[in-house]
Order: sequence, then structure tokens, then C-alpha cells
Amino acid sequence: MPNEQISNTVLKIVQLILNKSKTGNVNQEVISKYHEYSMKILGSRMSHMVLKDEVHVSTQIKKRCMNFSNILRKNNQNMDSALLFNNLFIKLQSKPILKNKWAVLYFLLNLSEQLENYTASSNLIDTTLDSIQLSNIDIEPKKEDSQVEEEKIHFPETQELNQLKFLNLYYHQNEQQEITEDVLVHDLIYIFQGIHGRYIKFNPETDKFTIDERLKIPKPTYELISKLSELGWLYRQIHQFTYQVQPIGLVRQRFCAALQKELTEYYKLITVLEKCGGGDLISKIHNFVNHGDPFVQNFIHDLLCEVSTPFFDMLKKWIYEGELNDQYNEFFVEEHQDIHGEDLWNLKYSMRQNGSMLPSFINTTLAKKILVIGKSLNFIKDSCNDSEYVLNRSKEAENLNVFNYDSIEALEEIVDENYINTSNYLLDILFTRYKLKDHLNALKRYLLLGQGDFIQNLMDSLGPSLRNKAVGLYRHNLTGSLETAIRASNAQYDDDEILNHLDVRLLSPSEGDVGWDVFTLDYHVSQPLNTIITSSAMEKYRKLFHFLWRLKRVEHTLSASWKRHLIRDYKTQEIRNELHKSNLILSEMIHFIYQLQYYFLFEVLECSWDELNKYIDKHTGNLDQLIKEHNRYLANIIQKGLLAPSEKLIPTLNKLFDCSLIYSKNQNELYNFAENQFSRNKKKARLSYQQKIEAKFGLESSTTYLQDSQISDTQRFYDIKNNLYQTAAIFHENFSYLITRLSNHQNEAFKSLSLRLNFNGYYISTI
Amino acid sequence: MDSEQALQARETVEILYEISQLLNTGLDRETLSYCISLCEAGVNPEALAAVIKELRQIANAS
Repeated sequence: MPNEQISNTVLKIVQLILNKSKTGNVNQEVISKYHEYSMKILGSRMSHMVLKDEVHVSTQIKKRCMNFSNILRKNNQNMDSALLFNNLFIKLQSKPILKNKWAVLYFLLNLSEQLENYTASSNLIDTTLDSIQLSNIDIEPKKEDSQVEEEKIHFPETQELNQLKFLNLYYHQNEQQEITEDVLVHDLIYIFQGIHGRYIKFNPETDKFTIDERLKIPKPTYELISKLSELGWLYRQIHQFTYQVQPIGLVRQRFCAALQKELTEYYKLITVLEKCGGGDLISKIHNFVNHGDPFVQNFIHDLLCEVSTPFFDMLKKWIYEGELNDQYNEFFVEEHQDIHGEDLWNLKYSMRQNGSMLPSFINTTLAKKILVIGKSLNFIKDSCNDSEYVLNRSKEAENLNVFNYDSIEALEEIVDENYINTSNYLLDILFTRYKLKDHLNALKRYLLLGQGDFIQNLMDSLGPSLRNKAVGLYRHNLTGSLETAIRASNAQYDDDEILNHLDVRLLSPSEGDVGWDVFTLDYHVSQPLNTIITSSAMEKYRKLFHFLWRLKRVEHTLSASWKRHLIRDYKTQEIRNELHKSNLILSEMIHFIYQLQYYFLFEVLECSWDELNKYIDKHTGNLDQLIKEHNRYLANIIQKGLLAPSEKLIPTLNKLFDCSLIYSKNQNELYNFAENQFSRNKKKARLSYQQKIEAKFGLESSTTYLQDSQISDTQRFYDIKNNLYQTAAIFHENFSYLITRLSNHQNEAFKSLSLRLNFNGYYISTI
Repeated sequence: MDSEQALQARETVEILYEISQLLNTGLDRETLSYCISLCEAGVNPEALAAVIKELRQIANAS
């Protein structure tokens, strides 16, 4: 491209950028002024020497991509962006049309630095940085100005330089003599790349890195830094060799290129190390612990001892006090804020995702135990209000000296011991002070209808009021009935503390609901028990109660129907036949209900309870396992009790219950009808007798026959009969379906239930 | 320039534009394509970057 064309293109760029300025369009004069200026800049620096290699530049760009994460803290995005770039770069390499790939990439890289500054720091810092950019930073103090420019190109890590400036500025403002390990580590990262740190500088006279003498640094740290800075010195040696000695000969040039490549690898390593912190860094260092060279091994060991100190401090505090003191998110357990109540145990503390920050010398089992210990302590302190225990524990810890890298095996023992102690203590508190077992038992007895006489009494006293519309029910009336039922049954001997938790609840009624539909027994669970009996567990309890309560209600209604049978002997043969038939069907229903109830209470409930009980009596494991066990207990009941939604048996069961209720209502009508007819017949007989007497004595008849009701009577009887037949048919249909489903089920318990329901193949022949 | 070559050129600019987005350079497609042609013509990329920076500063200041 001839110069004229370049000039034209530059002009276009100037127009494009200046027109974006705040003032809008800029006049021609200004544009041409800046155009000239731009051309001057382009002309003046035309002849710089840079390593013109696109692969080299691409490595730098990748590094930049990774470095974004340090500055912008958008963690999930940036590793990806390095990858993304890699893909793009490969694509780009396959395009033959671009001859000067290196230049374009280098140009983009240079531009990106600028924006980064804008986003990384606040405007204030930014402007200060700009002002010191030219004057303050001497990379090589003894070099002349013209060489600084070159040095900058040789050091492509201008990124680090910017951070360095930032640090310089910061420490000028807060002159302080005590420095933290953090800052020293940061400094060391610069040293590794042959750049001056804030406190550690290269002294050209003695030819080594020296630490600022004004600083008070403990001797071991001092020695460590001296050792580490040697790395920086080595780097400088190689670096100087590759750039400052003019390579003579092809082999030598090649050698320099190879060295350069190695150095790039080295940059990569440093960036990787810089990126990780906390437990991850410890893991990275730990990878070298089995190095074959005894010197390196010693060195890594010393390094690890030093680096892992904060980690072990945190660990100690966590294991003995249940406190997480981790302001830089370096520990492998993370804390979630704003979690209270029943979720405290489950959600407040967790392992970091993908086991990050977990040092590789701690295996996952141990880490889980450590997590549980701290969680338990925290739980004992916050939810069970027992800070005394935790205090004693932390006193115990003062004399322990195993929290360092050298005594990892001893640490494992301590963790194991602590794990067992803490878990046992926590379970102890729950079972003794908070009577967890009594509460579970109460839930089973009251909500799952384990206590028969109580439920019978409750049904009797509630029955009349529950038959009314749900809208007219009031909780206080029902609470009264609950009291009565408790007093009248063996429940009165139960602990008051437990009975106080028992309550009545009315679900919000919908149109046409009667009391039976909305009544629920409730059990209040307080902290800390609500960690085990969570609200979702309570939801399951209530669901079970609802089902059992219905079952019980059907049983109650069916067993009440025979009472009427006893009352009177109805003479009409027709009605007697019909009653006989309906009683047969009713006893089928009673058989079904009894079998189902038996199955549920004995085979499902008691068996599951027994399992849970055995587990509780063993007194082992931790709270997590207990919660799991309790959930399993509930799930078991639901699964075995035909109530699992996946079985799709609930609609069938509900229909069967409904049929039974309707049938017993229909039968009641039959009784009413029979009673009516009976009394009418009696009346009729009396009337005819009266008429006969009157006729005999020649008196005028004072009554008329009730003849017209005769037709409607036949019609009514027919209707009732029809209703009974229809309901029975629906019942039988659903019942057969249930039996078929159960007998084909793989679960043995279901099969035995179906065998009992379908005894002797009464409904469906099994042969 | 035949159509094959034009297609190649467009794809190349597209790739470079994505890289430019990744690196947060803030260049739009048009400016970027001018810059690419300059780089291809052998202009010193570092100087070109300096020019863009300067111009942006001026645009912001005014």
C-alpha cells in the first residue's frame, strides 16, 4: 500500500473516532490537525524491533485473557475466554489472506491494556496512574530513556507493571513497616519475572535481590525469600542472555529462540500459580513434595510448612470452635449467609464446588468429616444453645500441636476422634435434652394414628361437628374436642410437654367441603428438632394423616351402620331381601377397610418404626445420617403404604373410600325408607281398623286413604335400589383393579396384601 | 478481487473482530477493518495502538 493510501485510511479512522466524541461532529480543521498528528506518531516509531512472531503474541493474549479474571473477577467467564481465543487463533492461522497476522494481534493486545485499566480501577486511581506512568516507573534504573522504551517491549507483561504501579502508589500513601505475608508473596511473583517488587529490589552492585532493610521480617521468612529470589536472579541471567547478547551464528540464534520459548512456559506457570490461592495453592506446591532431588524436597517441605500455616489455623478454629474465619475464601468449607431456622444445618456450610481449595494431602473422606465436625459444633452452639461445650472444646485445643504440615497422620487421628465425639454429643443432646425420640413416637402415635383409643375418641367427639359445612367450623371448638379426646384416652398419661405440641388445624375450605375434608391434626416442631423433622417431613406426616384419617372415617361410618340393623325388624320381605344384599356388600367393604388398615398399621408403620428405632438405639453416625434415616422412614411408609405418587394407586383408593361412604349413605336411606314405610303401614293398619270400627257403628268416615303415596313409594324404592347397585358396581370395578395391580406388583408386601384382600380368589380367580 | 477472496477477507475480519471483543478493545467493525488494512500495509502496530489511544483521549476530553 502506498503512503498516500495509508494516509487516507488514517484519516478515516480519525474521523470515525473523533465523531464519537461527546461534542458530536467535529469540523474539518480539527480533523486534519489530528490526522497530521497521528501520521507523525505512526512515522516516528516505524522502526521498532519486536519479536515478530504470531505464536508468541498469541501466548501473551491467552495470558491476558486469564489475567482478566484476577482483575474483573468474573470467574466463570475467563478461563473460557482463553479457550475461545485459542479456537479463534487456530481459525485465523488457516486464513492465508492475512499476511501480517502478528501485527494485527499485537495491535489488539496493545489496545486491550488500555481498556483494562479503565475497568480495573476507579477513575481516580486511573488518572494518578496515568500521571506517574511516564515519570515514575524505571524498570532499569541505570538505563537511559531510550532503552526504557525497548525494555517495555521486551517485557510484554505490562499488565504486571500496571499492578506494580498500583501497589507503589498504594504503599506511598500508607507508609507502613509491618507487612503481611500477602504483600511479600505478591512481591515475590514480580521477582520471579525479574521485575522489582515494592520491598524486594535488585541490587546491581551485589548482583542479587535484596529485601528492604527497614522491614521487620521474621528470620525464617527472610531466608525463604532469599531462597526464592534466587529464581528471579536466574531468570534475569537467562533473559539478559537472550536479548542483550547479539546472537552470532544460526545455532546460537536457535538457542536463544529455544530459551525464549522456555521462558514463555515459565510465564505460564507463574500465572497459574498466581491465579490460585488458599487450598489450591497448597495443593499445587504439594505436588512437588515427592521430588527426587533431596534439595528440592527439603525446599518444598519448608515452603509447604510455611504456606499451610494459615490453612491449619483455620482448620483448628473450625474443628474446635465451629467458627469459619476465612476472609479470602481460602478454606474448602464455605459459609452461606442469611440462612436461618431449619435450613441452618443443611445449607449454611458446604464444601466448595468441585473440591476446590481442598489441599491434596487431605482426602475427601477426611474433608467430609472435618465439615461435619464444624457443622455440628456450630449447630450445638447456635441451635441447641450449648456454648459451654464448645468453649470447653476450644480450651482443650490450646495445648494441641498437631496442626501443621509435619503431623498430618496425627491430625487424621484427631479428626477421627473429634468426629465421633462431636457427633455423639450432638445426638445425645437431641435425644436427652430435646427428647427427639419421644417426639418421633408422638408423631407416630397421634399423626399416624398409632394410638387407637385416642383416635376412636376423637372421631366420636368430632363426628357430629365435622359433618357440618367446613365454613362453619371454628378452630377453638375443635381444640375443645381434642382436649376431650386426650382426657378420655390413654393419651392423658403422656408427657405434657409432648401433648402441648399437638394441635388442630383446618385447611382452607373450598366450596362444598364438609368438616371431614379440612380437618387435620397438627404437631408443632420447634428448634432444633425442626432440622430433623423439617417442614417437608411434616408435609409428609400431614399427607399420611390425611389418608389414614379418611381410612379411619370410612371404617367409623361402616361400623356404625350395623347399629341400625339391630334396632328394628322390618316385616316387608322385599325390603328384607334388599337389606340382606346390601349388608353383604357392606361387609365386603368392611373387609377391605380392615385389611387395608391392618396392613398399614402393622406391616407398614410398625415395621418401619422398628427399623428407625433400631437405628436410633445404636447411637452411631452423625446428624446427617439421622436426618437421612428419618426421611427414609417416611419414604418407606409412603412407598409401602401404596401412597407413592409413582404407583398411581391413590385415585383408586380414594374412589373405593368414596364408594364405601356413598354406599353406607344409600343404605341409610334404605333404612329410612323402610322405617317410613313401616310406620306408615302401621298407621294404615290403624286407620283401616278405625274405619272398620266406624263403619261398624255407622259413623261417617273421618279419614282418607293415603293411596297416592303408594306409587311414589315404589318409585323411590326402585331409585334407592338402583343407587345401591350402581355404587356396588363401581366399588367392585375399582376393587378388582386394585387387586390386579397389587398382585402384579414386584413388591412382596403388596402381593401378600392382594392375597388377603382377594382371599380364596373370591374376586378374581388366581388360578 | 473475486468473490472467493472477498469471502475469505470477510471471514478473517469476523474472526479478528471476535478476538477484539474478547480483549475488550472497544473497536467497532469499521474501525477495526481500517486498522487491519494498515497493519497489513506494514504500519507499526504499537504506534497504531498509540494513535487510537490518543484519539480516544482527545474525543473524551473534548
